[in-house]
Amino acid sequence: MIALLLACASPPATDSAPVVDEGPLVALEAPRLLRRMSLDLRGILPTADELDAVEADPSTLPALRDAYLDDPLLEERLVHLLAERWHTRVDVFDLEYYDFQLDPELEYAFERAAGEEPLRLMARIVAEDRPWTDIVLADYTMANPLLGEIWPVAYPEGGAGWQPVSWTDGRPAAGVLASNGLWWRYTSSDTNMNRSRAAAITKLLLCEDFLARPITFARESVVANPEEAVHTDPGCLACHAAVDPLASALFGFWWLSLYSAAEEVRYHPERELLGEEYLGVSPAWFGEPIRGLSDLGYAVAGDSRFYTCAVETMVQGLWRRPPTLEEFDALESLRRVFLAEDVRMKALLRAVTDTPQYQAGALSPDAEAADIEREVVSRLLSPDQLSGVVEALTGYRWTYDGFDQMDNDSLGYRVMVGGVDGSTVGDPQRTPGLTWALVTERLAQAGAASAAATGRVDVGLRPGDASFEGTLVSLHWQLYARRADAEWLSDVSALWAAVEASEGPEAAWASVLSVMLRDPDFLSY
Amino acid sequence: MGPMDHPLLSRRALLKLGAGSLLLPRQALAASTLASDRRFLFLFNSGGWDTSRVFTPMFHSDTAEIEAGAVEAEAGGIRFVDHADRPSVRAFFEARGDRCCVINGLEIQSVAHERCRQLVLTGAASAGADDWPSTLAALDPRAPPLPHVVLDGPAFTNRYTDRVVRVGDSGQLPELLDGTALARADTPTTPPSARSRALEDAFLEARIDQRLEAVEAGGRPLLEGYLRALSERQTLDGLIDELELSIQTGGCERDIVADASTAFALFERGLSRCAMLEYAGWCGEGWDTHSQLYRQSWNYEDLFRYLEAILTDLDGRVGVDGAPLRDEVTVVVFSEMGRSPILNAWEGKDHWTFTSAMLIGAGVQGGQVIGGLDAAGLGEAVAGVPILGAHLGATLLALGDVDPAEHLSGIEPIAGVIR
Repeated sequence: MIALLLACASPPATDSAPVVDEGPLVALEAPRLLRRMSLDLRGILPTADELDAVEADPSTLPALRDAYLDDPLLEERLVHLLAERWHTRVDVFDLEYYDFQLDPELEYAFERAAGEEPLRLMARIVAEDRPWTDIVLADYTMANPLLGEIWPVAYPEGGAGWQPVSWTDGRPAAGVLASNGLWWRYTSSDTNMNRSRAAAITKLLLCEDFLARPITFARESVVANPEEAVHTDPGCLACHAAVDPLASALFGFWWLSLYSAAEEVRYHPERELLGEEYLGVSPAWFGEPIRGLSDLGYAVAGDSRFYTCAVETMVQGLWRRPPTLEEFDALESLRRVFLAEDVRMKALLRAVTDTPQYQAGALSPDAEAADIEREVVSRLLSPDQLSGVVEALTGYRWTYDGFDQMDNDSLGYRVMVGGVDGSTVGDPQRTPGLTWALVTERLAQAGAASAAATGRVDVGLRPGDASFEGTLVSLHWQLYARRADAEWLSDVSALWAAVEASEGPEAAWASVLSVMLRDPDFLSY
Repeated sequence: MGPMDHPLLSRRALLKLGAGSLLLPRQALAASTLASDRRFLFLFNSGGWDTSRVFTPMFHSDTAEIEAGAVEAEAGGIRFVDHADRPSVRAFFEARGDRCCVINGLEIQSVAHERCRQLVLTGAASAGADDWPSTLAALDPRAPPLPHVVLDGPAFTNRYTDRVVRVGDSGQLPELLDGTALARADTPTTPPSARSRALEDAFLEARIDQRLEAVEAGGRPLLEGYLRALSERQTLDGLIDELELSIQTGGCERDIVADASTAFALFERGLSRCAMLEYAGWCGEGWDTHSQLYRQSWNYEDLFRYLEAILTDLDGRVGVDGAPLRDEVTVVVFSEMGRSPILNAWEGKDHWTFTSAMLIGAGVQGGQVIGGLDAAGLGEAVAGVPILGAHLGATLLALGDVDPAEHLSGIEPIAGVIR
């Protein structure tokens, strides 16, 4: 809805600062804000030096934020952020690892590689600061060695990691619209004939969800001949006039079997014309004829809704809530910045992180109940942030049989710890629940035990040593971006002593680290 | 035994939860369970069932596919499709029909699985809605520690995500509770001792309390939620030896009778208000029979056999207050869509926007069928109103003493369902 309003708004201005209407929002203190920016843009905590710098001079914060936008970690972080909306990182596709004769230990790697392909392409385009339009125009995709083996792509010999690759099966250049990962996630049946895929395109790229429209089938004409009705019944045509021509452009991804690896890895140029035959309509983009997938990306890029949707998507990702209709002016300002900067996503990310909604850490005393209900002034770490930060601090990453336990639901804890599974849970969790508390506790215990056992913390330190207090003060600052006070130091020292008395110093340090990793100041940002 | 002597909830847990009412005696409860006391067992049949095999006789239609050997029958006040291959259906209605209300002609307004699941459970096609069980659980005035337990099946949540307790696809919850999850790792670690864990919890709770004293508006929900979650975990810790939360299978499929038993064990201890189970059909093959239509019959036969076992289990249990648990529990049996009245080219049936739901037990006016399909397979209006997924939701919310008007604009409960 908001995307539609924005698209209908006045023509884009070339430059304009975001509208600032702080209302009841109270900004975070500079070190905590830097922490938020670092977690959102890099997935890790800021260094102690960086925190020191913004504490001493908050005006240095924008420069550090800009450096984060150029940090190589931005690309990986965007994969996770975009996954919350694109929902391609599912645990199950129609095809499984064994369909490609892969070893069982590659099950998780296979699932994530396939689901991340379109996300990696978008993230790379942002990381290279290329125009957002490239996501639907690029003549390449991203692949890792596993995909290089099983998909028709020219993966560089001797290459490592995710690399830009070209398709070798004759598919047109259409960025994510030509990706296997997107269409493995959004499949189509014999009777659906790519219509659900068309709906996915408009939802993801235009923020227009055809499937959210109320419909009824309760008419004889629809029941008697539904395929005829979509061409003649006014109620059906309201959506199908746009959906079917778009679906017609996707028949290069028409598979004769949903469970055939040979069918699903390849694009089928020879089937492109089947859409016209099966659906009875030629490919078109909202009434504008197109030749098929080869024109589709250009049609999307020529639609003003694509840009407003990009703004809405990033706003939701970073505000951790959807924007409201009352925030129309703020979104319009962001859109103008985005357009003025040649639709480069880094400029938009920069502008969004400047908004009061992003920077809010509290609400003023006069905030109304609706403000408290709407605003997310304190956000829970997402599973990828949690996993990454704990690993950076303790060296521990929770994996099992090759599965990242913070990043899957079949064996692990992604949704249980507040994440998105792409099917039933579409939005990140906002407040702690039982399973969240359990998973964060067990992860903290494992990380803490691992750090104490592997010497990441000097378990020889004990209360009374100067370094004992120094270590704790330093950890407090690093983990929370807040200075430790005497009361906390006293309490945590008492915890150390109580555990040490019966279980020794290593267990004592594990307990101290564990409670630090379970602290709300650590688990929120 | 007095309610405050109940061994399963500590005094601390009660105080923390503000749930003094959870175990307090209720006057006249045995005679008539309050709507606010109701608990709900949702049984989701994934894939889209063919209602013409049981719930919606189509013998009046010239165009609908009619199953060979099927006849229209009535038992326990329920008019249904009887067949020699499905003796458990007849037996169930004969024995339990007086507790069942079948709602037919429920229009879901989509034919896509994902969307239909969302619509039947939330009444809304747009993202950001909480489903009926999550809403019922979150608004339970007793504030049970495990409000909505998802043993299997979907859970659509937004505001109330933190009120949903997922057992996990492979039974992760019990492993997290007892700490064996830490061993289920490529780098195994050992959980802290019980003493250390208690010390850590105490430290953390004091820390959160301190933060709550200092926090400004807007920051409280997260801290309060954290404190509540810790309390809920501690409650569950005390029950881990009594509850069977691990996943059980029966032959080639999930054992939904065992899942229901787990749900009832939570209900009878006052720990949960809602639970979700999923029946994925014979050997987990689902109900999505675009071909192999005969599997619908297998599924129904098994489903009703399981339902009989589930209700027998329920009948033998006693609730927190000493009243029969069956007086508190409403069982909701549903599928996200129906199947077309006519066969497709593969002798199967494609998706259909009209489906049925069956409500059983507490608060339900049993022995009746509401709504139906006309000769073309279209849903018939009830009291002049086409029945949508939202109407099912309004009915369930009203059954649970949650005002539907606060959640569903202009949608009333389905007339006649509620006793």
